[in-house]
Amino acid sequence: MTFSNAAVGVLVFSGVTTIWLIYYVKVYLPRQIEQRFLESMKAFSRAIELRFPIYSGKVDEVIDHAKMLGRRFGCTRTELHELELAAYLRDIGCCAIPYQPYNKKPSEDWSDAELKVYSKHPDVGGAMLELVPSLRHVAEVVRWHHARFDGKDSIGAPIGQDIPLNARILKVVIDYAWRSHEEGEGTAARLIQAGAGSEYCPEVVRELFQVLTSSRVKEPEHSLVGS
Amino acid sequence: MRSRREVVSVKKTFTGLCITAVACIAAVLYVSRPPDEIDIPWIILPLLALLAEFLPVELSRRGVRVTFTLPFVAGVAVAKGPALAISVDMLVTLVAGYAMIRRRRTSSANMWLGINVFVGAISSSVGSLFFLLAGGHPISSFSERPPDWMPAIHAVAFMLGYGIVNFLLVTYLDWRASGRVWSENLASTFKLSAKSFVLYTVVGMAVAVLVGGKYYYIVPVTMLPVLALRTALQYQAKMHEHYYETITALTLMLQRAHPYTHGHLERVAKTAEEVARRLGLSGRRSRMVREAAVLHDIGKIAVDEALLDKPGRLTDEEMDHVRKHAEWGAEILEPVRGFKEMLPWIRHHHERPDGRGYPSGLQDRDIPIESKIIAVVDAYDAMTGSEIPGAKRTYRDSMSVEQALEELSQCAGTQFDPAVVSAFRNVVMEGRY
Repeated sequence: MTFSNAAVGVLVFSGVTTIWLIYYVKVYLPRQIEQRFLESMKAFSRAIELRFPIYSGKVDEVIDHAKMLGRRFGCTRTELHELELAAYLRDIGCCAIPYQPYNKKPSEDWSDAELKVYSKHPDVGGAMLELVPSLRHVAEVVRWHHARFDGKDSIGAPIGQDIPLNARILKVVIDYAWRSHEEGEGTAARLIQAGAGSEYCPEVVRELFQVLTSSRVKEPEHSLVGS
Repeated sequence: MRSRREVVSVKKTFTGLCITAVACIAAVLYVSRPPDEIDIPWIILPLLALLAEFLPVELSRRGVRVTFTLPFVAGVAVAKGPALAISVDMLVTLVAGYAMIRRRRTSSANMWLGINVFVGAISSSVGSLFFLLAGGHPISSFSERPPDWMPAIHAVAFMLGYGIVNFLLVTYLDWRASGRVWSENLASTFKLSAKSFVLYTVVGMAVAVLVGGKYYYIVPVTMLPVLALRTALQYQAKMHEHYYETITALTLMLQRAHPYTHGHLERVAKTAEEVARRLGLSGRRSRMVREAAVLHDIGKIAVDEALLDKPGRLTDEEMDHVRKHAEWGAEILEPVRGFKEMLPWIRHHHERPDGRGYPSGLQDRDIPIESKIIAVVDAYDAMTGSEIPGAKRTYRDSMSVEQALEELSQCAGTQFDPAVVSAFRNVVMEGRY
């Protein structure tokens, strides 16, 4: 039995609708979700930047470097998105740090007690993210984004390759951005390289310098969600 | 815990629906013809309906669940007539519902399962009547084979009847359970279900054409759009949840920076929504006022907490720093599309009708009503303080309710909007605060 034109029309129309629907849920909606997440992340990081203006302006650089490194380590699109979220959220725990004295004097003048309070921010950030179901998956990366590779100075922290890759990447790119801002790129590069194996993951440091010395670093990075 | 009054009401609803369902089924049986042959392949339709019933989507809106059985039930009506369609609909709801509540079986869960089954029965009966009115019969009982596109029309008639009645019944039950305004519920449920219904109809038409041509073995392919639709709704629910989680996370940040806000924001938000409703704002807008009220002080994340707790008078420089929180709040929320509408409300929640407010010194007519509402409720809560020990703002002693209301009345027209103050006073007097 063959169908009449009208019946074929109904079937073709449903077929086309199905294809459109599949495109909608496989391509359009996931992008929308990513976009919404990034919007919120920007709000969080803006809040931290406003509270501690000394940190401002380095987010984009950190994210660009982190994503480039992530790609070199073969991260999937989802893992890169997670890395970007973690880069935005990394200092969310800073809101628990008192406004003074951190805004009133440079970091080298902080007392031991003040440094101790500051060093708790990854833990506070991790604990806060645990409370938010859709961001729970980046809590671990945020918690360990200042963890030393050799595990020195911190009790209970993972050591070496047990630290999540994204946390190891963030540790290197954040410190590089911070140090090059404070002491110039040359000194920053020297300090980071000296810390490879002790403070920083050697593989990540190697990849960072390959990225920095290659011409690709000058190319503008496209956002995951397009512009 | 469910109150006794509610249980009685559920029982009444259950009985009412049961009687209506029986009457509807009787009417359908009276006017419809029974199928003259029951072959094996049609069984694929109830199986697909059962599968779809087992894959519900929980919309993050007071636990409303959506299932996707309708195209397949319409297929049963086309293949074997209305009586079997009603039976299939009731059976799949019963089987899937029973399997799902097995773990937490209570008398009220059983009651709600019964209500669901009867809602299905009534909807499919009305769908069947529409189907019969459109000239539909079980495909095998036509004396002369109709054109192969005809079943699609019959299926649409069935789904239309089913959809309208189901929509009205679900809205009614939701209204009974939540006590929200009828028209608002109708609009929000319609918005939720209209797009899905159009897609259902397309799938249902394809199912009917395939069933009409007895191509039962192709029918399972129609699960594909159903599954895609399900994923789309799941994504939408996720976006909705993410919106509220963003609010929660921002509030958590503020509470970490300024612990006194604990409890204050929730109280202000709840009351601001109530006052917004009193002033005649729509349900959607009132809910947004609630959300904006939770976030109104978010800019204080960037304010030195030592200044907020400072007992004495602030210097001009310190005052300027604290006053910036209104603008900072809008700046923090700006990247999020969902907050766009509330940015001016947050930026201007310290403006005054006499033009002496900050940050812009707006005149009365330029200040959004939402900002005026937040300003009044926020000021009242700050004046009366909080019952939580240690969470009290230290810079002044808290006032009694009468004193605070008196203060608000005195400042009406200069610092606060008189209409908002009067609506707020009513809310407080009725004990809703």
